[in-house]
Amino acid sequence: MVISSIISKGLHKFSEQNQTVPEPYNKKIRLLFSELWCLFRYGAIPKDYVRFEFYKKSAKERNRYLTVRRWARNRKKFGWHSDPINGKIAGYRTFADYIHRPWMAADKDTSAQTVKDFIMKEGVVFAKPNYGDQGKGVMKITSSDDKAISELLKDIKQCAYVIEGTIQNAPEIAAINHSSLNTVRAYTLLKRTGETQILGIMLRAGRAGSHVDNWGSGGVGYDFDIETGVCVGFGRDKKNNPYIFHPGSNVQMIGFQLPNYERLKKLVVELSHKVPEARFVGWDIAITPDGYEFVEINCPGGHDFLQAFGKPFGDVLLKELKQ
Amino acid sequence: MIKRILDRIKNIKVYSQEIGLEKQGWIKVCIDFFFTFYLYGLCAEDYFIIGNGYTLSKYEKKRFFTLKRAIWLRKKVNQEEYYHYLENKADALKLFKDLVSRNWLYAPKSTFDDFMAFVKKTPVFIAKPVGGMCGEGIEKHSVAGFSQEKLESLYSQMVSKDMLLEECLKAHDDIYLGTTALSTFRIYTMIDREGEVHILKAKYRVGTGDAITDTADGCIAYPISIEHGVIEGPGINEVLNSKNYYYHPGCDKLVVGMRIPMWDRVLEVVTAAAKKIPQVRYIGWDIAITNNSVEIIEGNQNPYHGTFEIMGIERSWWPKIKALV
Repeated sequence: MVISSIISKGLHKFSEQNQTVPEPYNKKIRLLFSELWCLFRYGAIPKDYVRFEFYKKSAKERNRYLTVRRWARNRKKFGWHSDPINGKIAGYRTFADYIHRPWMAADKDTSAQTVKDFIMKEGVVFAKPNYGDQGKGVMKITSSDDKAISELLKDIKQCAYVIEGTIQNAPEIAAINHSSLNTVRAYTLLKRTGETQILGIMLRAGRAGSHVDNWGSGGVGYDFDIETGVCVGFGRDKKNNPYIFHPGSNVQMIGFQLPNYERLKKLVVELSHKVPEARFVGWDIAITPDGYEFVEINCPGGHDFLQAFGKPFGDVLLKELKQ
Repeated sequence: MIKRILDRIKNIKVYSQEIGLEKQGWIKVCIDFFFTFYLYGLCAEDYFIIGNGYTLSKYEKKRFFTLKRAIWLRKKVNQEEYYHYLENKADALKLFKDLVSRNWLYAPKSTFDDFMAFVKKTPVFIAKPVGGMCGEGIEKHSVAGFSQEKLESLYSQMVSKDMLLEECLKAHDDIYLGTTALSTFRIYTMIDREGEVHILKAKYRVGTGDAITDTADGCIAYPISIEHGVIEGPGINEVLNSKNYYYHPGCDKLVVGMRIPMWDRVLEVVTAAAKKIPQVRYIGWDIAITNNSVEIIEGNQNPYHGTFEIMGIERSWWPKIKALV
């Protein structure tokens, strides 16, 4: 009974995941065996298999990717759950110098009045669970929305939250999508030599109407040239659809230049040295009219978004850990 | 024969080292390359240098538009007896006369008076060998201040060299990157069995420095999104095999993301041109965009196949092309 339920769940997930595999690679039996082989050999779950287009790649090339198994096995070495960045609240405290927006940590010991006062003062706030990713559990709350406030107060009793004021996008970034905060995701690797290698610079922009830019919530990611800060290829959403123009606003993204890019690079390198045990990090940074604003630290950085634009980093990262 | 094989093996060793495959053992790489070459026709360029064929699965190699397949395609769909309409530049200009608005003159078939009338209207012109390829033998002349004798001598020189004289074109201001050479668009078309024209791939070729042609060593080719008429990715130097040009060398202007003016007209012109010569079904067209017009420069019955698998987002062209055959 249990086995059949596991199999049926697995098959359901398999067919759901493989809906985005294009013809002629989507022949079911072939795909199933190929995915099973990649799971066994490289530790790539079907999500990785589809995302990194393993169906097109040779064995040598597949082996260059950081798959979910390799990521999970090495996450401690990458700096996972290091004290200064364990959870959003710890991260905000560590990088407080780089946060210019008002924010507060709220947990079961925080009084409801303090939370209410903060929301009233700010007018609009975002509440993020201390442990959460892909925009899950993020709430946008306005001071007039009593229902949402009471829901948040109830949730705070269960788990800690970070409540923060809104961040304004720089006009050129807001033009891509007005409803969400569109953030830069910068991946860094702090080498043993103490040198920081920027692995990738991406911009995530939300869909029209969405208040988060996360991939998991329908956002589109764009890859930028590390040297120049210019968008150099097609944007991708989680279903691997390519975009030249951002859906909704129709802003042309290929050739888009990130403002004050040299400053961003400097900031990322500076941030990467703050917590030396966090070696492989994905930094979320907002581009505001006044410069750059630290949004959050993801350690280790997600392996899927980093490699979603056709560049494998498994060999670079694992080699660095072995040294 | 043995020397040739040994030379090839030596080259493979060098290529393997260049792309970091030496760790896998160059003998293994060599065997894989020869099998791939034999089974699918990937040449060294396809496998190592810019095609990155070594990164592909066997299934993907089967779908790669390789050199061997390009040769097969040309033989299969292009009728040799019509090649002269493309190879002979004078014949081509006659055939596409309603798609060409620039001033031109085929020297051997013209009198000195015709030549004088031409240079009066076009004192700076380009002279091309009528059957030349890849920009070889192209000369640029300016006759301002020339005496009668000098003009006569130039005319006889043009006749003896079998030259076609053409007005110098200047690229549209929006896409001009400060180069001496005229930058052209290479657009690949294929006519299917029903006679419908399919536009397969497009790239923008831009020369560098003071090269006269955009196919010289420093030329960079940028992929174009056919649907949107936008440069959709970084450029590649197809001659020197270097990749990832976002800014054009020399002028440092950002090319990625550049919108091509009159793109719809470009697509109309190549479609009309392809229909004029349905006996040659697979052609690579060279097109120029000036401030006023879209000009056909020439058509090539044997266009460079590598473009398909190294540029732009769409890859694995062989099944798509084969379906049109």
